[in-house]
Amino acid sequence: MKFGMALLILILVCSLIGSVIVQRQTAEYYAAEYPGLTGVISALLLDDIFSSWYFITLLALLGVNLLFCSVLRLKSTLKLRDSGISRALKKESEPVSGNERDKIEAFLKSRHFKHKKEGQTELYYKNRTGYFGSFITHLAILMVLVFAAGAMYLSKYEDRDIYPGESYTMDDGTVIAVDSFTLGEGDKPDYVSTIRVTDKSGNESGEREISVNYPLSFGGHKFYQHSYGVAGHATVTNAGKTSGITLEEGMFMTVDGENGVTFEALYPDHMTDSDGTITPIDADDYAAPVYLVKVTEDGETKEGVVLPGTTLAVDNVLYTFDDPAYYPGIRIKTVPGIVMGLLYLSFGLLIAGLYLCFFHVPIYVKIDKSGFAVDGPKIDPGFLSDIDALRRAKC
Amino acid sequence: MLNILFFASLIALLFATIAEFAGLIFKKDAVKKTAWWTSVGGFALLTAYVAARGIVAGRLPLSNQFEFAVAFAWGVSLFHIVLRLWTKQDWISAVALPAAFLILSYAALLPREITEMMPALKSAWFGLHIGSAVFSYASFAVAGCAGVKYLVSLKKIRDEADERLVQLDYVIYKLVAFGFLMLTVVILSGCIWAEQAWSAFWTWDPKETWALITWIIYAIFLHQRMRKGWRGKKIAIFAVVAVVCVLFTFIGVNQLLPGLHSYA
Repeated sequence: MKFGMALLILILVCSLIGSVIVQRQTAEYYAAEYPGLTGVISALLLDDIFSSWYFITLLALLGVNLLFCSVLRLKSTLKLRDSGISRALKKESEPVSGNERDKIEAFLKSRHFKHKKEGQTELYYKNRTGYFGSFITHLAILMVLVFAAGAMYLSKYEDRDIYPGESYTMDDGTVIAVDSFTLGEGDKPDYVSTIRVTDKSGNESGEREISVNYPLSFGGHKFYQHSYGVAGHATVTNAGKTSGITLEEGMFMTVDGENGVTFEALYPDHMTDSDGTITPIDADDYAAPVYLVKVTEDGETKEGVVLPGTTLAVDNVLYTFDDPAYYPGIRIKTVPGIVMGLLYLSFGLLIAGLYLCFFHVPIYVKIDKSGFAVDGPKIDPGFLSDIDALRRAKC
Repeated sequence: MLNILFFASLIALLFATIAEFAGLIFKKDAVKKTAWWTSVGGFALLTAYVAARGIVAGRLPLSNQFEFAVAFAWGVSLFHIVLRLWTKQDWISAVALPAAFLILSYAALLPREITEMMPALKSAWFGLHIGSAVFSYASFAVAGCAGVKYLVSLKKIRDEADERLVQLDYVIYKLVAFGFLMLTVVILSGCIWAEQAWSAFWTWDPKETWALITWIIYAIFLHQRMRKGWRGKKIAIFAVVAVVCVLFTFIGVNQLLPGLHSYA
């Protein structure tokens, strides 16, 4: 147990250091924030302590310690439980009167104690499953370590920005289509994407909503509403045919390859001078967005600012700049379902084990001709006080 | 109306605390009885405040530092009443009332506006995760205060085998055990919620890391008691020191180590 305590203390120290030193930053960051300590931080891997070999070794050793010091002691736990009754029967009794004996028995029956008669001795007992509290707790912690490691290392993540109306096909053939994305207001959940997933076998999820805290599990993957962004959008009309384009910086929209419009940037806001000159500015929200574009026609290129709703005609092709659209960032996670299931099972076992350990403590009360005795691994002084009060009560 | 309820409960807890200590110093049972009933009234007012705030906000009032601090003080008040009734010992008031008052005073320093809850907090796990944190922290806080009481009493009684100290030691142990169980629920429900919200059940965020540090400290506490037979003074000192960790997780992490978890 000493070794186990030492491991816990070392894990605690590493955790403390990892919470104080900001993790996973650039070398420049540590040079600026911790001048003079950069060498130590780097040498001891304090900038990524939770992934360091020594921290992982500590966790692995803790798992081994749990296995040998607790889980493999199930046999001794069973022996302890099995010998509980015989030990209680051998305990020396404290003399009580017949009246007190009756009161104690009535009290034990009201507390739902089980009852067993051994010759002239009445034995009351309860909470014998409590013997397994320690075993279950330590087994559960070991399971948490193993399955948490499994979940962390077996999880694969993919982050994709998928514009409304577009879809993305994963390597395994799963297709995710985003129908719409809204920011939401008032009572409605915020950041809601409506998506449709078709798995590699062709099974369809149908139209489903995902938002923060409400991901979709389908086809062996989990789809999260992870982030969002704003993108410019344009509609190009050429010879009566119209197509919508989600704009990316530097994109050159053209039909003939020579004349067209280059999308430079989308600014969230703008200022208009007294002479009507529009100047794009940065801001936190897209209150009055403008597009910065370059128009190339007949070998000449001109840069300019365009408001949403404006149409530019370049070489008989119409480029209409629409209102910017919000798009969702979808995180796709893949992890074996059984690993997560076993991890959550271990969570439940841990809670159950702790409850048994601290609140379901075995207790025995022996009543025979010579008196009564209380026995158990951790006798509640309050229970003894109750018995004393009962004996002293006059009725 | 909300402010009236809040400050009325704060004043009631202050009055109850002063009356409790006055009753102790001057050995007046009537004064201590006044302290008890005032504390019950303070708890009722605080409960009314929490309920009213929840109704006005349209959600559980646990989503920021102020609301959690109020809930924390409420939890300590609740433990005070339950323990007084369970143990029938009035020393509980001397330890729990100052703690409840101090925590509520801290809350009074924080902004009290009701704000819209962030999308990341809108989850079915919110109530279980934060609610169990309230009970966990309250349990540890009362255990810490009981540890102070133990050490003060030990100086007068000088005999760890004295029945009063044995009972006090047992109460400290049981409070820590309950707080530890609740803290485990906090951590595990937080893991499940984090996986749903952020796709990763553990990110070594400062709040998560300090919850784990607190868990390890109390795990060592319980091991030392159960396996090494630590009793009395050692347990009392440990309970007092360990609650500092709880307070750092509650206040220090938010102020000094912000991260993904910086709501409360």
